[in-house]
Amino acid sequence: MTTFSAIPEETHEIKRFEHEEPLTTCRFSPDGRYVFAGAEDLGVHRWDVKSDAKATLEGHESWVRRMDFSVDGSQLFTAGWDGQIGFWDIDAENAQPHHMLQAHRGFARWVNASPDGKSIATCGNDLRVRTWKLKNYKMTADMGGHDRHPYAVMYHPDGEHLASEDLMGWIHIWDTRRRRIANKIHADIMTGYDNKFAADMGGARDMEFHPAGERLACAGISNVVNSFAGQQDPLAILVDWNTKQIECHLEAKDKATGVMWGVSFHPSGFVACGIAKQNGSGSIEFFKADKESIESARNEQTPVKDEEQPPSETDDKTDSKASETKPIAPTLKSYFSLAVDKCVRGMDFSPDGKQIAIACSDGTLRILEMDKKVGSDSESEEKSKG
Amino acid sequence: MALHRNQGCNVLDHRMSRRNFVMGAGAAAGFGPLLTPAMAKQAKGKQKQILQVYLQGGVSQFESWDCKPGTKYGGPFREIQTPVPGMKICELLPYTAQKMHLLSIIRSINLKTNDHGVGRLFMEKGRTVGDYPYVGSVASRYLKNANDPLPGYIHISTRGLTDNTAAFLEAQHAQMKLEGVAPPENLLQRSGIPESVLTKSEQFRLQLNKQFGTGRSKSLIDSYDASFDQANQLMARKHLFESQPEKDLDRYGHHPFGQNCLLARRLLEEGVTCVKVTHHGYDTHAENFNFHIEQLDEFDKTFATLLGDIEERGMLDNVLIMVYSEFGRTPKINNKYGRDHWGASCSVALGGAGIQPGAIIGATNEDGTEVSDREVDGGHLFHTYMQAVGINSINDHDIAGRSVPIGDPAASAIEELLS
Repeated sequence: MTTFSAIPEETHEIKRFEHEEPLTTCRFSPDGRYVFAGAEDLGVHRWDVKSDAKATLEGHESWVRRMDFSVDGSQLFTAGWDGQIGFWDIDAENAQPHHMLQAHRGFARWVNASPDGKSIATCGNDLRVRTWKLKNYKMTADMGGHDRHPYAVMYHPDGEHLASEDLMGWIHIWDTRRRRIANKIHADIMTGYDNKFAADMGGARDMEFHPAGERLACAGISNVVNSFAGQQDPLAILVDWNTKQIECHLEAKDKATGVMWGVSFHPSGFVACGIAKQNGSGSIEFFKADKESIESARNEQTPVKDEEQPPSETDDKTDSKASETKPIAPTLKSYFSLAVDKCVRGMDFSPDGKQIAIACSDGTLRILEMDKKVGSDSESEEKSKG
Repeated sequence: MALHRNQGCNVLDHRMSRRNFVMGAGAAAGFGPLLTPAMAKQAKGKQKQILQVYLQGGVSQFESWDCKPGTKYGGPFREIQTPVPGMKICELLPYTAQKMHLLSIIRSINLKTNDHGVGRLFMEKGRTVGDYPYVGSVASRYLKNANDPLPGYIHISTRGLTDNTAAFLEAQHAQMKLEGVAPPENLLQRSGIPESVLTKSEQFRLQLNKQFGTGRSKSLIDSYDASFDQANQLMARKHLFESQPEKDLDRYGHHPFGQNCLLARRLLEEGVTCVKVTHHGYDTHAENFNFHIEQLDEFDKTFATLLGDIEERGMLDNVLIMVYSEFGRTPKINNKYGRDHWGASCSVALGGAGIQPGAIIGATNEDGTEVSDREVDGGHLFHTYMQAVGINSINDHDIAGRSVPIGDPAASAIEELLS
C-alpha cells in the first residue's frame, strides 16, 4: 500500500513543460503517466511525464478550465466555455474527442465523474446543475436553484449527493436521487460586491471533497475591495459535511492579494492551496487542517456577534437568532508557503502523492516534488546518520 | 489637459438639485444664444435627438463588437451571426445581435490614449484638449426646440464623473445629472406652504432677478431664467420619477440599468434632446471574462429592448443611438485574466437618425492589435454624430462674436456611414 509520504517544506521543481499560451488548469492522469492542461486557446494539452512528449487535443471551440477522469482512468472529461463536455481516450494517438456533448447553454464551468463511474456532473452559465449517464450521454438530472452562475460542482464520495457553489457563495447540496436541493450553505465570506464598479465577485474557483467525504473544500476569494483590479484576498473554506457548517477559513501565511485557484486534500492529511497574486507571482500554501489545529485556532479566536445569519431552507426563524452571539469559523494560516514566480492557476497532486503539478500564467506546467532533493545536503546528512 | 479619474464617487458631486441647477446657469455669463441661420435651418423640421449609452470603464472590443475567436488574444468567447450578412458580434450579446440591422459598427478607432479621462473627452468632445462642449451639450444648444422647457441634456447614472459638459455654451445646456431614477432633490415644493407664500416667493425671486440683471447682459439673465424654467418644468413632470410601469420593467429588467434605460426612453418620448445612460463596470483589469459575462448580460437584453422600443415607436429616424466607451481593452490578456486600457484599436456601435444601418466601418488586423483599415478617431466620430443629427459640424459656434469650430477642423465625418 502506498504511504503517500510527502515533505512540503522540501518541495522543489523537477520538471517544466512549456506552452505558448498561459495555462488555465491542470490534472495528473490517474495512472500518473500524463499531465493534462487547459490553456488560453482552444486546445487541451497532454504531456507524457517521462518522455516529455506533447500532444494537443482539439475539439473545443473555447477555453477549457476544468477536467476530470473516468474512475477506471481511461477517459478524460473536459469542460469548455463553449458549453461542451469533451470525452477523450487519455492515451489515444488520435487527438480527437470520441464524443462532444452540448451540456449547457452558455459556458460549461465544471465536470466531475461520479464515484461509481457511471455518470458525470456538470454546471454552467445557464444556472443548471446536470448529471449525465456516461453509457449513452443522456441527461439524467437537470436541476435549477442557483440564482447566479454556478462555478463548480462535485460528487460527494457517497455518490448520492452533489455540492455546487455559485458566484454569490451559495453552496447547494443536492440529493441526486430526489434531484433537489437538500441543504444550502452560504459561504458569504467568499463573495463581495464591488461598490465602485457595481458588480458582484466571488464563488468557487476550485472545489474538492475529502476522499472520506467528511469535508468539502472550496477555494476562491474574500474581502472584495476592487475586484476589477484584482484587489481581494485569496481564501479557501472547509465545510464539515456532517454539520454543514463552515469549519474553518484557510489563508496564506503572509498577507496576500489575489485569487486562490486551487485546493486539494493530500492523502497524508494536509491541505494545499494554489494562489495567483495580484502582482503576478504565486504561491502554494500548505495547511495542517486537522481537528486539533482547527480547535486550537478556534480557542484563540474571540467570538463575534454574527449580525447576518444565512437563510436556511429548513429554518425560517433565523430573524429571531439575528443577534445571537456565536463563534465564526476560525482562520488557519498556512504553516508553509512555497513562493512561485508566476501566478498559480491550477494544481493537482500526483496519484502517489509525492508531486504537485501547477499550471502557471506564463504557460509553464511545472512538476514539483515534495521531498528532499536527491543529493541535497540534508539528504546526505540523513543518509550519513543512517 | 489630462483629467483624473474620479476615484471616490462623491454623491454630492452628481446629485442634481433644483438649487444648484438654477445657480449653475450663472456660470455661462456673457454667452447668449446665437444660432446661425444655417443652424436654424438645420434645426427646423422634426426634432433630432440622441441616446447615448456609455459603457464606463472601457468595454472590451473583443467581447463585444470586434471578436477574434480562436486567435492569440481572442479570449474564450465565440462570435454569433446577426441579421446583417457578414456581421458577427460576440456571443455575449445575443439580444443585441438580433437588432444589428438597425446599427452599424465602427471597428477602426484609434484614440491614441489609454487614459480614462482623455479617452472620455475625446469621445464626447471630439478633442483631447481644450474647453469644448460635449456631444449632449452641443445637441441641446442646436437641436433643442426653444419652446421646449425641459432640460436638453440629461445624464442618468448610478454614480459618475463630474464634468463641465457645456464649456463655453450657456449653462442651461450642461448635463443635468440624475442619480438613477430617483427624482432630483427638491423636485417637489414643500408641502404645507400656502399659495400666497409661494406667490410672494416668486415675486421676490423676480425682483432679485431684476436687480441682478441691472448692468448685466441680457443673455446672462436669459440663461438664469431658462434654467429656472427647466427645473420648474421637470417639477411638473414628477410622474416620470414616481413609478415605472411594471410591465415595462419586466422587459427592461428591474436592475438599475434596466430602470435607467426605461427612464431614458420616457425622457426621449417627452422630448429631451439628448439622454445619456451610463452603465458602469467595464474597467476589467482582472477577471475580464467573468465580468463581461455579468455586465454585458445586464446590458444586452435591456439595450436591445430599448432599441426595439425606439424603433417600434417610429423614433429611430430621429434618434441617434450611440454605444461607446472611453477606449477598448488590450489584446493581451494579463495574468489576472484581465484586459487593460487600450485606445489603439477599439469599436463603437451607432444607429438611427442619419446613420446608415448594417454597415461595418474599418477593420483591425487578425489579432486585433492595430487598425488595419479606415482609421478614425474621436474627432471623426464627433463630426459623424453631429452630422447624423443635422448639425453641420464644420460650422462655427458663434460665441459673442468669437468663432469656435464645432468639430475639430483637422477631422471630418465618416461620410460613408451617413445616409
